[in-house]
Amino acid sequence: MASPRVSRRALVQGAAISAGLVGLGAAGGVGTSTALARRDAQQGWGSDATVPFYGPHQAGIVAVAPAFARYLTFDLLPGTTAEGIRRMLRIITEDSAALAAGNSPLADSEPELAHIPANLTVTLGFGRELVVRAAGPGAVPSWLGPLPAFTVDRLEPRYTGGDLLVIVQSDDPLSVSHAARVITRQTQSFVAPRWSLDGFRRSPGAAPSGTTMRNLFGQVDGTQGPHPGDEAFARSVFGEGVNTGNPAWLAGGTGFVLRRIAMDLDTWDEVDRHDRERAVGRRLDNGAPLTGEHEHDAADFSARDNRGLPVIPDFAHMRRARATSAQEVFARRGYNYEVEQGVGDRPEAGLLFEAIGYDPSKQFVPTQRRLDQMDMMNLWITPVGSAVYAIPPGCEPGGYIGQTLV
Amino acid sequence: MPSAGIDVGLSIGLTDNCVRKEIMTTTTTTMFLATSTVAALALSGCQTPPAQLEVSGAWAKAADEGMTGVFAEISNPSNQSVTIVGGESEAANRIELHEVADGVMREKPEGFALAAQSTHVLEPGADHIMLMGLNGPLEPGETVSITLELDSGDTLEVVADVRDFAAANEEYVPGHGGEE
Repeated sequence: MASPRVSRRALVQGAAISAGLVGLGAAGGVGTSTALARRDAQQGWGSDATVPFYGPHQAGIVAVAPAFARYLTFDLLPGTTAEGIRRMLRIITEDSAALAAGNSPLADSEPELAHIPANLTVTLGFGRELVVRAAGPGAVPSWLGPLPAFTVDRLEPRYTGGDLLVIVQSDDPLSVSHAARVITRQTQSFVAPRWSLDGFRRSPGAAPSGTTMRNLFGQVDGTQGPHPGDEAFARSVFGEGVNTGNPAWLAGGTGFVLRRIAMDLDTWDEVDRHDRERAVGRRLDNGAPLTGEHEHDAADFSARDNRGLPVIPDFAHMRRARATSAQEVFARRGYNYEVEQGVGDRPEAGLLFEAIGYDPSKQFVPTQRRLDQMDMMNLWITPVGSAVYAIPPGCEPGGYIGQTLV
Repeated sequence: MPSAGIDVGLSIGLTDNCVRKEIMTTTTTTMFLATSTVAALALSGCQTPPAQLEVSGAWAKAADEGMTGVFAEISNPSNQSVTIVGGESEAANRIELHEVADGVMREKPEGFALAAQSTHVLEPGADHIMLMGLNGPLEPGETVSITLELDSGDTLEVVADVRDFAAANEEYVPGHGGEE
């Protein structure tokens, strides 16, 4: 069943499209006449579907996750100083704000590609090296650095680390590509690309908005909150009401663990449906816990079947991943990926997994330790990339992302 | 278009017997630029109030040395025609007004004419401002200030954001005193 929130959004979008509303009267920037000509019946969907860029938190952290994402990581060039970082952040901020509003940024060689933001957001994360160069070692949060080693990890150096993370998200993949290109082009004097990867969910409109995504194993993935808007989100993500121990510049920001988790679709094929469900502890048809009927039913971890065995097995992912204390609660989000490896190689399929919380060492790490010790899903999944970033707070017009740091 | 929040002291006394006064015009470009562009018009005559030009989206191509281009959208919302005839900048020895014809960049000695209620786009491959003989590198993320001179004798301040840009490499054929 769709929630009321979902239904309303779907209805609003449907109504706007069927009404064929005329273009927006207010637009801005160079090339406005071109933009206006193209703002036709797509109201409510692409051209005027905008997420406000400015605010106390970065928009991509608090917005509903759109269908497509590109993760870009960069390394600082040797000569990039704090002053250069400041200039780079101003550029990224101005360009991102323009792109989010559907306007072409300065010096955009393909300005027409900017006019359909489709809920575009750009989110910045800082690796340890960037924070050190920007403000010295004293500004580094205690948890900002490589995670402890886990036995399941098979990390590829090229997919691990990075000084700057840029996540571009939108409901339109062409807009994602263009925004990523703009930012890559405009930061070339400061950083060099390290790796980038596209993530995807269902296309907008293919499923009711707000539907929990499915991963490439067919599982409903991401039921466990908190989600943006939930009461627990502000506490566990931004540390509101918590003595986080984080440096002052990170107020309104958060910690961010990015894991590139490869999924072996071939060996998963060998598993029957019953065991697939027991591996996670959830039904495949609707994501409900094996002890419940609906996706968001609370799981009964003490329930036993008629043979006296736990209905949700001891090795089930959801049992092992659940928080053992309020402090361990963090937000999680994922995007599917699938990439060619080269001629003759099988594609690498997997999940780009985000663990978002004010202190990954107290939230993600203890959780991942339990999964590392025992989780049936470890038979089929392998973390191949890993990085930790500090997500700075948002900013207001005239400011820039990272201004509290540098 | 940028919604221009123009706050101009138009109460300026035209009977003030040709006293030079400065009017600051602040255009706030909503939705497009985080940076605001400040246009300053300096009254030097006392016949009629000067046309108030609005500048938006001003940027300059980053360069280590030599010369580089400056681009912007300049609007003339007034009922008088205005011509930009020259200018200066502390960032360069001098500035020139250029056009590009058949892929060749050359100086446009007559300047950029803005008819009443028109907009003139300065962009790569077309009319643009050149900073000649840079006094130092123009690095991405910096700003560069240019004072444009109008045919009325008034001036127009342009603050351009410096950006990396791969194009705008038109072959420059010096002429009319412009070589570097």
